[in-house]
Amino acid sequence: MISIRYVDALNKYYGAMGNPPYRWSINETAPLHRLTKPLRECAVALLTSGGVSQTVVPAFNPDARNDHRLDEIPPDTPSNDFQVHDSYYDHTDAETDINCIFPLDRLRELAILGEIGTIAPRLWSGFMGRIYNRSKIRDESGPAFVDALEADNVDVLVAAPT
Amino acid sequence: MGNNFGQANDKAVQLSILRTALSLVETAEEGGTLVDMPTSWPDFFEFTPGGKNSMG
Repeated sequence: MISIRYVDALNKYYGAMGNPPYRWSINETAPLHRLTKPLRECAVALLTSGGVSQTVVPAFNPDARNDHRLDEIPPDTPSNDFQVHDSYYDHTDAETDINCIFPLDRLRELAILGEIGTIAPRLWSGFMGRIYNRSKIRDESGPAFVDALEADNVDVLVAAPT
Repeated sequence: MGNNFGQANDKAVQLSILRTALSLVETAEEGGTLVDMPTSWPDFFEFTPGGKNSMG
């Protein structure tokens, strides 16, 4: 198996534009929070950072920086009712099938099969583009997101970065 | 990036990746656990930051 060296590739890409080396966040620990019930009883939410929005709302700014916008996505949204605007990755396949990056159809199937308990009342799209002001994520938009997940009694969040 | 859950309309692989991710919440022994999927990408694949039309 050949691994794709994302960090190396991004360092090279942005360095070639004359940008200073990016100060990547390095998390020394990743606390494990065990479930208190089986997955088949859990409420599951999804988050994509791929510039995905419903067609009925304004598109994301594809060239955004420090965009903390976070859209609520109703879980029954048809999977062909999305648009993708993000100039930092190739979303050709996602424009054909949003499940490539935001697998809400697959999540529905797991709910029907009883492999998860329920789909959360709100799914999420946001934090797209390059966010350099990390303290705002840590101190403001991140905690606000956690509050929303807790309000929805979410047990598991599948975060799918792009 | 752009294919976190596989290729367009490849329901089997999309479901497999989502299942694997979800199963980790029950099976992971420690935070930060990484799992390599056994699935191989069927075509040549080269990651290009910014997409295929960028300067790469």
